[in-house]
Amino acid sequence: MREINLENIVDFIRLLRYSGFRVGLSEDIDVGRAIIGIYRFSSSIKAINDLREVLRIILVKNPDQYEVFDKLFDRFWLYGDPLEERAERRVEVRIIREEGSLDPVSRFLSIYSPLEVRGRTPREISIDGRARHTIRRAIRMLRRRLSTEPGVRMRISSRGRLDFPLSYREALSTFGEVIRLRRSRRKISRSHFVFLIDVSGSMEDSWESIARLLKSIRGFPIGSYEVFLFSTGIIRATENIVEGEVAIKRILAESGVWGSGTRIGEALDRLIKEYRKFIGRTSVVIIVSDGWDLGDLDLLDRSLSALRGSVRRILWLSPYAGKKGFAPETACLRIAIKHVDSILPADILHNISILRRYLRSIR
Amino acid sequence: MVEIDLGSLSVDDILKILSSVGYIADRRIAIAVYLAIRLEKPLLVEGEPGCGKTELAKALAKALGTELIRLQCYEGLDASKALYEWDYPRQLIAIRLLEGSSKPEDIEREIYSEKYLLKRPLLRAALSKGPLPPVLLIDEIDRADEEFEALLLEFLSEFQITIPELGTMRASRKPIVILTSNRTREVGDGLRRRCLYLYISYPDRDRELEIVRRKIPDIPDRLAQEVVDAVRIMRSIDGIAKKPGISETIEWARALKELGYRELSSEAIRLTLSVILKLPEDMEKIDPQEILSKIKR
Repeated sequence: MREINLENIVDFIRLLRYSGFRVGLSEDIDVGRAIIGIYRFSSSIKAINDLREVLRIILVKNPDQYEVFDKLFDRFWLYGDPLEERAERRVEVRIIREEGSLDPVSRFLSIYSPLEVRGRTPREISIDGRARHTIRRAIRMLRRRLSTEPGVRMRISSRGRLDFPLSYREALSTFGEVIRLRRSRRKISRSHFVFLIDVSGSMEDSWESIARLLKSIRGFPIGSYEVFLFSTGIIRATENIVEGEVAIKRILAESGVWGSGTRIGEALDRLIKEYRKFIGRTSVVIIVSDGWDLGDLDLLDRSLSALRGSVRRILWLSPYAGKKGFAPETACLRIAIKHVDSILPADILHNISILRRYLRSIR
Repeated sequence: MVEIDLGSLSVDDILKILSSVGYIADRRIAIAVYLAIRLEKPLLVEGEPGCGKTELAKALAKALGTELIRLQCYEGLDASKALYEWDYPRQLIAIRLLEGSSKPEDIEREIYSEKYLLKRPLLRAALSKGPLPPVLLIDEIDRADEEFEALLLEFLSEFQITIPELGTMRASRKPIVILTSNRTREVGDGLRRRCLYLYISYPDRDRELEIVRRKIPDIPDRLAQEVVDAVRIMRSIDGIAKKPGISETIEWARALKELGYRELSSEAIRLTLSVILKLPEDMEKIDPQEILSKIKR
């Protein structure tokens, strides 16, 4: 067991930072004040447990990080692992086709198989504060620009209801004399977003940006969004988003949607029939998919048409859109383009300048 | 009540005083409260609804014998409801009364005096004059808008409020601030980093049983145990949207005791299920017989 002293505490904080915890200087100082000035520890097990709580309360601001924190704490304080700093490595993997391996068509069919693959889980993706901030800002900008529902705030409007508090407040500038009665109504400032995210095998390369999007959606008010994941089937993942990453991975593994084939038409058909109550006239639907579909294209046409008639706006985010030479030429996208408002690059939520260009282009 | 010296409180003292007012805390909670008092930093408490987050602030105020100032957050909450607002109707009356008899500058001085200031919770907490700092409870911060969070950042770092007509009002000592959140949305990073952080989950069986016994002293022992076990089973059922918290456990135990039950039965569960589960879809997922068999096993 390591001795509890300031040097070791500073080392432990470095270990936390190295492991991805965001610990600032002010937290450093708070720990110092708590440990040295206030909470004097011996090196007993009880003291170690108290130290764990003190450090957790000051340094960890998210319960999802508790498990990692506890592991690091045990490693450092109980088992005395030395602080190791390793250079971050990036490994680039290239697949070279060898004699006798699957030809491209067989490989294509193995990836885009319309069969469900149960039990697989996606790889771990971390998101740093800056990326999260960008995505959240992008969603907020979209929410504001594409708002469809009245919010709490009021705006002056000649067609609104009489607003006495506002009229009296204005009357202060005329010595309390009410010159005119003001009318106001609720500002259209809210929106209901429905994210339909393709998690089939063909989207595995886009998992990093999907995972970041899912993690960033989490902080928005419950009820202001719905999230559905689809491949050969479709599942509602809104509650799992609220619960956090572990719950998302669990539902992806259990439902079998992760890494399976793609049947967008059937997924949309089930969305309209089974999850009708989660979409409304004011919803803005955002479909994130590459449009590689092996399902029934007539059904896709009918489902998209029905969806178009039920919601305010449909945006299709494709990982290939915006790239050189991109044209919506897959059978699926040719159908989609008839029904959706825009086909946009999936990067749009990760890049504010692309988003701004789009927002300027819409009425 | 004996006056408490905040400077000499230990973690064990906090456990004792909280227990004396009926709040059964574990050591983790006591350490968080201790650090909030000693480091003079706000404590952000998150956790499942009904786990005793708000109750912690109330119990702390009661245990310390100090004032509890509560700011209930909601969407649209703004500075005029949280900090201060001028009492416009009274100012109007004053203007009318003073018209003719006073100079305009005297009228202005009069209507912008502290007499016409409506002190909202944050200003009240900053200006509180009691022997001990008050406990400021900022409840359900996740319901407030992000703009309000920005306003709080400023207040919680300086504990001062600037009123253009009166000048800057600074707290002579920092209140004990407890913020609660049900995590319906993520509280911003800026606010999190300024706070100590405590996540309260459902208590373990023994602590929950102790809480029930403390809140309902004359409850039959068998009933208390079975209620706690049944609630724990209900919480573990997949798909229950609104899981019962401690407050629901207490309410349910109280209801069953008042109805004269000495132990749980299938009929008792069926008749009183609405006390513990608040959504019809959740109630449909409960099979009283199955719960009973699991308890008795």
